[in-house]
Amino acid sequence: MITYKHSLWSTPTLLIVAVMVAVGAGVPTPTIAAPAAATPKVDQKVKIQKEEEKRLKKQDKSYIQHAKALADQYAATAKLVASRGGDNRALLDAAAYFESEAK
Amino acid sequence: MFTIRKLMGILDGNTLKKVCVPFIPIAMGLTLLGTPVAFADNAVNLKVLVITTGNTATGDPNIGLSYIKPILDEMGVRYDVLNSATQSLTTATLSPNSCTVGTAGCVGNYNGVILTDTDLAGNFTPSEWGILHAYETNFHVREAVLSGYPGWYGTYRDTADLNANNVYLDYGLATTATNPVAPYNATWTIPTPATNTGINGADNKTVFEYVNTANPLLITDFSFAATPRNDNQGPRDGTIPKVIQLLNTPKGEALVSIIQYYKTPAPALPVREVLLSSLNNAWFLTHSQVLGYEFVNWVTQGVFVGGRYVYMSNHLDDLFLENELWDVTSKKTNPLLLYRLNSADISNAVSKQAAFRAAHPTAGSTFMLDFAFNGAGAVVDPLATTLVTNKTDDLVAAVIANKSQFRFINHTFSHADMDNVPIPANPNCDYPTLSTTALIQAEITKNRTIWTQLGLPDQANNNRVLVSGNHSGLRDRKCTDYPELHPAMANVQDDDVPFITGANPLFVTAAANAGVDYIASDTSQINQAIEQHFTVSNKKVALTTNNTARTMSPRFPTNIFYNAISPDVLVSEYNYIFNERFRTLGQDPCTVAGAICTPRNYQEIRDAEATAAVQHMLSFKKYPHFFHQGNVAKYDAAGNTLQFDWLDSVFTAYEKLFKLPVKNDPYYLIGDKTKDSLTAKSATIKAVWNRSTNQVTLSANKTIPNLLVTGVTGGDIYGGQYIRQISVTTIPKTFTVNQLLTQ
Repeated sequence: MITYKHSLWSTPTLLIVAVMVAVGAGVPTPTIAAPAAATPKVDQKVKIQKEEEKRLKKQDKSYIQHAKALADQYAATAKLVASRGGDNRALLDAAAYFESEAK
Repeated sequence: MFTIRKLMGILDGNTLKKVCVPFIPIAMGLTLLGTPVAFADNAVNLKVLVITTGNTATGDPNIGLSYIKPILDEMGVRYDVLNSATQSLTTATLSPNSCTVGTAGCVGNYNGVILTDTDLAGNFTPSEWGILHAYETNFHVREAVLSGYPGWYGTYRDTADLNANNVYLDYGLATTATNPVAPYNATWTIPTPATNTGINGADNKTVFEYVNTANPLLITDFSFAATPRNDNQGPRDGTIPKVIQLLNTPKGEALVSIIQYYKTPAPALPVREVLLSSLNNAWFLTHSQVLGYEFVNWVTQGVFVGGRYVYMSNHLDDLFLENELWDVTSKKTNPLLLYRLNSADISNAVSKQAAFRAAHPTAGSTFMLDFAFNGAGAVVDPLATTLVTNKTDDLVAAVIANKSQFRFINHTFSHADMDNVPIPANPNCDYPTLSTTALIQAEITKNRTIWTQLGLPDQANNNRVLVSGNHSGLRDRKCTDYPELHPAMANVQDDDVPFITGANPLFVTAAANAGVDYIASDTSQINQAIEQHFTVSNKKVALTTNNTARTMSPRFPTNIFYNAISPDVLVSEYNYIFNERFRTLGQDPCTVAGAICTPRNYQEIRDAEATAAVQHMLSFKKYPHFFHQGNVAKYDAAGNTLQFDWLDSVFTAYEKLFKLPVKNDPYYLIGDKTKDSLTAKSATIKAVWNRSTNQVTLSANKTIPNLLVTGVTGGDIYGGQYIRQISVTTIPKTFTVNQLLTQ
């Protein structure tokens, strides 16, 4: 029978880093087993979604510049609002958030 | 759903008379009011203007443009971008010779305006805001704002204007002092048609109709929250904004709203409308992808060149071959551990497929897996001159018996590598190469012979598509493919020559000779996540605009690895790749891009995969996801498989967000659509919507056989809208607008 071995290099979608998969020998036939994981809580799904979005964000080479631009933009608007007697707390928070994202 | 009232809803009283006279006959019959009068001065191009802030320091577009541009591109919507940081908006930008409605022959340049930021980072002068709002009012063109600070009354005042009311920008909202803390669930409050009788064009049949609004929308990034002021104050043009909240924080504050501007006194119909989001939107956020379509659809009033569908096709490569498996003990792929599907797996897959269809209505009743097969594994002797299929083989017999339950794709006869022959010769190359076009072509045609012998369905159509082994032939791996054979290399892909320089001209020539139109690529590889035509020119592979050349048809990989057949194997390998091996090397995976901080269990992996795949679906890309034959192995007594676990997780997540049916197209049809899309993008299209006659006139500088247009009579009804394929030529053709939804 023809066996095809793929290189794992083309397989992971989220990690473009070397995978050291060495060839082993003399290992028994695999056991096919059911998953042991329990059903996760809803907040676990939220956590996973956030993690995945964060990983995608890190792949966006422009994101740091985007975040910095937003931080500057909101800081400038905060000054404008303050100068006109408005409440600029939301804008200052926004500027701080995107400043931290830009680091 | 678009209604007559919706169209009328954006008009002021005077213009309403102009539009309704010809519009009523379309709805009620031409005999009622006689031949409609053509008002050539009430027309707009079907094109969107995107106004962004840009980033002059880095030359990089802003986050909102990075978000909306792929959506516009994927749908085939025509648009221009104006960078407010470097370009001024003038009346001539918006209409020829600054003409206005009422000028004979005047056609507004845009039928929708999208702003990436609420205040465009201060780049617009008060005068430019005035020009924009005047155009929107005069031409009855809507505006969408993707993100930003919603403001408060008094934020944007023209200091040069000494009038008492010098506010030039006002969204009718007051931003709350405290921003919501993400993640949180936002709730939908879109009025129903029955309850919105006082509101025009802002009910759940006209906006976000495709969204499953019964469920909250998870917001995972920054947002401003605001409350409608309803204080009878407005901008200096004399209008009063009325806010209709659509999506809200848990406290009921507005996140996404429609703002309708009314003239006073006694407002009847709004003179201008804005769809405003104060959420941070970006391409990598799921909530942004849920909202994305409506920013385009709503501003264009549901009439635009282009269209969108949601797609999901799953390819299982290597049918009839066996794959080596991951060894959970040694944490390596073990050549002694092998798996090839058997008849029980095939029968189980048929049952699971039926159960999947029943459980997920959006998948439809005909959802099918596609097997990309290698005939060498289905014959008595793959080296024989005359190939004979081994019909007594358990798997081969099962596939023949169930061939109507699946689709099939040519994956070459033996899964041969199609990369360039190394020069100079390299006896230590990780993979053998084929030195002539004829040898490569034989890999394609021999598999067709097996297709015929097995009697698999739909061969003629599928002869036009090819999935090469390991997507080889499109990049040059330079003989280094297996990390274990090259311990000195940090990454065996470091020396790869990507597409197009690394593509093998022998392979492309062989595919052309064999009549292959569409060649599969892997979106995770450089330059392969692009729909494009390519050919051989001067013995090299080159891009071309010639649509009779080969067309790249990208496929998404997943993290359901080829060498995993059960959850425990997958969990072991997944956590090794993304976490453990970094710890083994003394690194902190939390600091490595793409790695995960903590290992995941099977359910968490499924959730992560669902997040990624749903984002792919919501991008409207047609690309299939590819797997391998072992992924559909039955791993427990209940008949569960990694493949159907993945599908179930993905569709469960999708159906929480969207209501749209999912297209499950065969690969050749995806190729045809890709070709159509490329043809449309290469053309200069003229599309004008004459609101007086309520007709769209289309022409192009060359023939476009299947141009997608949304909002004209005929074609598919999808998501409650007409999406029609139209043959467009240099000769203008006219089509009746129909935003009315029938379901």
